[in-house]
Amino acid sequence: MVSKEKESTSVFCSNRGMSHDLFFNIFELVLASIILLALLYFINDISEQTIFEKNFMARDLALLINTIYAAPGEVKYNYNENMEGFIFDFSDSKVEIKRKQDDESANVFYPFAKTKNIPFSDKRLNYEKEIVKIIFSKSADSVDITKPSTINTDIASSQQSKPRAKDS
Amino acid sequence: MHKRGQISEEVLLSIPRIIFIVAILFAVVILVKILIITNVDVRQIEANVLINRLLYSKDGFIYYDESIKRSFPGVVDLNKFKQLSAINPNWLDNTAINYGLDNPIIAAKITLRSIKNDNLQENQNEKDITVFYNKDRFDKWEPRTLYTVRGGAGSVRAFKEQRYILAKDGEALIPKILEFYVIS
Repeated sequence: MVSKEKESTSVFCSNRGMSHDLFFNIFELVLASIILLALLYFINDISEQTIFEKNFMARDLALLINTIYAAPGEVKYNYNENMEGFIFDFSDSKVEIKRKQDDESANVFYPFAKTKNIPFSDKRLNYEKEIVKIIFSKSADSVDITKPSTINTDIASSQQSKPRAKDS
Repeated sequence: MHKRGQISEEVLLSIPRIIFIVAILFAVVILVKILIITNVDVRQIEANVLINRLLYSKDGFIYYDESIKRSFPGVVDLNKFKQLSAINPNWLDNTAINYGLDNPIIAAKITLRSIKNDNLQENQNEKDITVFYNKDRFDKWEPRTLYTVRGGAGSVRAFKEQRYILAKDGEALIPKILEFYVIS
């Protein structure tokens, strides 16, 4: 009994080195810390995923284009969402959303319906470094998509030169 | 206890601990994966947008006056509707609402029904007129629209809606019902 107590109090000074109890305790602590780090890494990876945002925006934009086509007259709509870091591709009757750092398999797309009499101008918009809006504009001849910096001068010049057409 | 007995005791006790830790790890991973939403169901909205597009856009059923370039919401061009039904059944798919060569998104059956009214005798013998949008898919999906079937990879949902409209036949405006049966 006395010799055991002496062993447990002077474990680092003992000639036998570490006790087996201490070894197993340290082993469990290392195992627990590895698992904790793995879980934190997994949750951090999940939090950085953008699959939900891409799904939501693809469907939202496709339904918006369908709704704009449904309107009987001229329409101008500003789409405001947090679009930083995304690339929007409106072509082949579908909205495709991706990020530069993602693989092809992580791209999300959703189809929309065009009208033959009102053509849709295919467009690719890159919002890597900025958060701005998308402007949808429908006239009697076409449906167009632009960013604000390019549309402002066009609208100003068109308002000066042409009278507005009635709804058609 | 002998030293070797102590060591083997510790090893044996650590096995259930490791199993328990692995089970907790799996539980956390599965919980997180379950709570991530990857599917956003917009079929109801798709159906509503299709109905409104057919009713309000110039390329739908709406009556459009070329002389004044004005469309009349709520007024259906009866001649155009009859043409779509009998002569040009794919016009809606190819021209008005075109998803491309293949449309796996939505299909619809639109029926123009007369309102039974003893005062309007000319409507009593008029038959219902039916127009299809994406007829191939409609015929394939309709048997699967059982209300007892929910979810699954090949599941579809059906939406029914009725609208009271005026059908323009020449100069006359006849009240009718437009029934939409949309499958998405």
